[in-house]
Amino acid sequence: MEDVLVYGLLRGGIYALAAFGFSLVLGVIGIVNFAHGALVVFGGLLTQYLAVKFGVPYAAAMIGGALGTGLLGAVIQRLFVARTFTLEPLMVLVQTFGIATVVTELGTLGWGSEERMLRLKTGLPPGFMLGDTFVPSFDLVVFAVSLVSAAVLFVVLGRTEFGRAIRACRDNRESAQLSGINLGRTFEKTMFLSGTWAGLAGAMFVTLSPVAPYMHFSWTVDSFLVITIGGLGSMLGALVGGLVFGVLSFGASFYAPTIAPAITFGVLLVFLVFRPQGLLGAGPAIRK
Amino acid sequence: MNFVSMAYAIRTGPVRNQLLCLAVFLLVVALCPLVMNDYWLRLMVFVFVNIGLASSWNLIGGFGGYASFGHGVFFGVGAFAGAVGMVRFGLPLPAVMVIGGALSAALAALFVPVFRQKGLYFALSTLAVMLVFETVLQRWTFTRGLRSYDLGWTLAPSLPLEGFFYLFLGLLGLIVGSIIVVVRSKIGYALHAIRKDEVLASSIGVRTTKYKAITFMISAAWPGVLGAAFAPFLAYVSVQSVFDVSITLNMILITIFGGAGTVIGPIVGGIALSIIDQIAWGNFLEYHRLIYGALIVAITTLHPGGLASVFWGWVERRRSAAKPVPRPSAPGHPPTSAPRRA
Amino acid sequence: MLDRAAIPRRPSRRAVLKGGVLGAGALAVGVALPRIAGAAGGADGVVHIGASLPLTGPYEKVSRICKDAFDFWTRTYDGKMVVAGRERAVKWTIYDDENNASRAAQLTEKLISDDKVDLVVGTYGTDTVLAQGAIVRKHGRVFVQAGASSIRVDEELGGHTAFTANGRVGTYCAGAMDFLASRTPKPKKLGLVIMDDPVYHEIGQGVKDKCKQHGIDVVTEVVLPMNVQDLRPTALKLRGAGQLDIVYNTGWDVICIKLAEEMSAIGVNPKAFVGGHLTTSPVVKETLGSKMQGIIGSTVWLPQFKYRDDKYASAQEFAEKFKATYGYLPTYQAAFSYILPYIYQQALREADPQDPFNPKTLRDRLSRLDLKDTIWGPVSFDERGRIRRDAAPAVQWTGDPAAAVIVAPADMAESAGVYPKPAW
Repeated sequence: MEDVLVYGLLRGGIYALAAFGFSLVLGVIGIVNFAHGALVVFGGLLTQYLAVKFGVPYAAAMIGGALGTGLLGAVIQRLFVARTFTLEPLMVLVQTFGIATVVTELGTLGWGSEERMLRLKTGLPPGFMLGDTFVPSFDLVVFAVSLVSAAVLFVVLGRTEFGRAIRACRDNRESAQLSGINLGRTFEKTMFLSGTWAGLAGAMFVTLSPVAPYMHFSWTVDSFLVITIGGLGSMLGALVGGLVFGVLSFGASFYAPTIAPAITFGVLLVFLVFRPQGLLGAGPAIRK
Repeated sequence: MNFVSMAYAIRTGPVRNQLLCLAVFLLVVALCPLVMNDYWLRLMVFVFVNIGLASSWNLIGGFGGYASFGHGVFFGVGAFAGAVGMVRFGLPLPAVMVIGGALSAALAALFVPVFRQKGLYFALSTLAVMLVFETVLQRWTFTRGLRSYDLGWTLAPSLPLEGFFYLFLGLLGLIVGSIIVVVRSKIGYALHAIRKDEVLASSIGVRTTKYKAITFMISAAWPGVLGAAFAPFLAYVSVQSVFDVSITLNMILITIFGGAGTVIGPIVGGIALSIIDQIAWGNFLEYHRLIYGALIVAITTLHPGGLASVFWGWVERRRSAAKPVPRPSAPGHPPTSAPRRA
Repeated sequence: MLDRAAIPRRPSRRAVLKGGVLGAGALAVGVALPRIAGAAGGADGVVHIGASLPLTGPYEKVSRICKDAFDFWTRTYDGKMVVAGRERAVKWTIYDDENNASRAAQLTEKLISDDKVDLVVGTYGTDTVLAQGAIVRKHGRVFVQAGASSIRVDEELGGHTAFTANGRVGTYCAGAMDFLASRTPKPKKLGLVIMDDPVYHEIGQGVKDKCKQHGIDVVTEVVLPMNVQDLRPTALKLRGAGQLDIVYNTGWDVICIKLAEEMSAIGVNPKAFVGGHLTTSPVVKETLGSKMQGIIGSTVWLPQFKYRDDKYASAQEFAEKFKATYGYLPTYQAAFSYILPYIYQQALREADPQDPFNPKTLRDRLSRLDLKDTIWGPVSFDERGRIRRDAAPAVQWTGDPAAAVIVAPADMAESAGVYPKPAW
């Protein structure tokens, strides 16, 4: 019981990290980015590539991978989403699905389809006992980095001029434009931020588990689940949602592995019907 | 009478003419087995099923503006109804088709509470329902397989290939015909109002929940019927084959590619994508996914209204070029450009 | 605009008809066009071989290996096959079935009735091979395959339609389990991880039968859905089962990697870990690195096996040539893919020149086939069209960097093996 909780929370950190960008884009641009999972995978593979091919130290490779993914996100926004985000949500869903396919296929052509993993020599002890639970120290490091980067994101959104512009666009697009905010630029920056955090999630995950281009869809679906539980468009919601989802999916796969997907999606349904704003959702304002 | 004004006339003309047009189309296609070999017949069956599924999806997703992301669940439930009914109970094909359709419609009726949600929430709910059903049908011993260690059902094909060809062609005719009728009925006008502005529609007395529920049930029943008929054609039904996410995605892609919210859209989209698929498969083995993805991005970015909007845009231009006096835009409601967000 | 639209001009019936005809004509042209473009002939002097492979999706890596092996066979014989005493050029048509059964059926139909191939070789994956077989059977044809080893192939297609060049999956564990049962101290407790799909249940059943035979307890059995992502819950389950002597994974390479990673992360240290039938995939060793030490895998083929054929003096030579061409060592999938056209070649060498590909005579020739020396070992088929072979040897990775050595069966063993294995 206790171990399920601990391991679930540790995993939840990465789920939250992956979901931040998804939530941000949904809140600000008002679109569901089906290519989000592809960004997570891209970030992981780019990090692995930088580290293995060029021998870049992990920390630098991680930052490189994250920023590279952010750049890809911004390019996607400028070239594609900028033209369609005012249409029905469905259009952008299909469009970003197409983008996910293209990114995945190009990734496969360039990097190959095999699963890759980045093994780090941290010099840390393998782990320690917390009560009866063995906590791998590396997992804890990754979890801590997740929390720190979440804090950085909160600061960026809450304390900077850039963050203010983003929030203004989220809360009221027209008056943001009236007060001189360039909508297109702000959306590109939003997508950059979203991609960066997606890439960060991938960069961390690739040190824990193998990553391959074809895995992108489950990341998208998981991000979806996280923000539905936590609340659409809310950063704190994504964090809480990620942790709750981590525990939920871990518990389901531990206690009833064969029907685990039915349990997680059943909980999702309960949320959708009885509490559509999620645990910490911003309410009907962003329900499109 | 030239082609442009004829196309325009069919589109805006009475339902009777559209149905007649459909009948002619079906009759011509019905001659295909005379000149086609088994492969092309089999491919045509897939095209019919895809168009039928996309048309059903289009009713709630395109005309109603409620994008269902788990529409594959109805096809899957239908296919399992077909497999379980035929193998476990020895029912004939027509019976399982009726059961498949009824089960799917009943399942759709359970969605009424979700209809309070719009857009994304609705999409998510349907996706969640599909994933729940996928797992349940796989684990439940009644639907899992005939013997305890089986997973999936082996069926004897109950019709020859030509039989399936005409069965699915007939079903396609019924589906498209029913959509033509529904779209021009009271339900269709209510849907149009709902799609444009649901709050306004309900404030002027349109009973939105009722119409949404009816539409969703129709749009769910057809995939159920198709699924049940498809089971013996597929010969082996398992969760992996009939609950694949790609089935739902295909419905959506075909509709959008052809033009959402138009009757002709899924038909055009289904045919166009099948042709592209065939060419890409045969000639660019390593790149066919890439080509497929790039096409989707291209059409949604450049022509979100799909091929239908490209065509009608051309028709409109020809008409306005032919007539110096500007006419008001097309009556009736197939939109000529991508629908804007309300 | 909710009111019924005013009708601008009533179209004549003739116009409506014309519209319908035009639309249908467009459809017919559209469908016929690629057909003309893709027309290919079973021209004289050419052997046209058709196949589909799951080139995209989870089996992408494996099917690339298969595709390379088809190509390697073609290179080895300079693109020529001797049929009915006459040398003919070989032409391949390969499609991507995406591991989707209905696609596989459709593509097989295309291969047979549209591309008019002379020979069909099977794809990789149980569902897809069964779907393929249904079509081949409908045409009264025969095919050789190795990508599906489930007993269902024997039940549904064996002997009349399908000839399977790979042993039953139920026997996959034999070498590894016999090896482990002979160790001291004798293993007592086994944890079993089964993927929820018939073929993996079949492998798992094989393991359970061997356990019963050797008096080993299956203390925990975890059944996982095919789309499982996180293996840590499974590792935790295994941890909860107490000190295990053996953990046996029936799943594929990624499951093996993830399971090893998660067991090592949370300190589950069984005395032996059997990674399953895909442990020999290059990706496993590359990803697991030093954790590969002591892992046992079952494999039906390795370059070390004492096999030879008319072109290669040893399996080793075959492997080296293959590696020189494609940059990686061939896995058993490479060997069994190489053997598929090879089997046809042997069966058709003395076929009737009038009708060399006649399904009935081909069936007879295949069932009578008795090859002593091939890269894949002796090849002959039983009455269900299954190759006569009943055990998969076991390999273990030892040394640093870890290299695979055969540890069972005894007459093939290169090393005594390590048990218990070092901790992760």
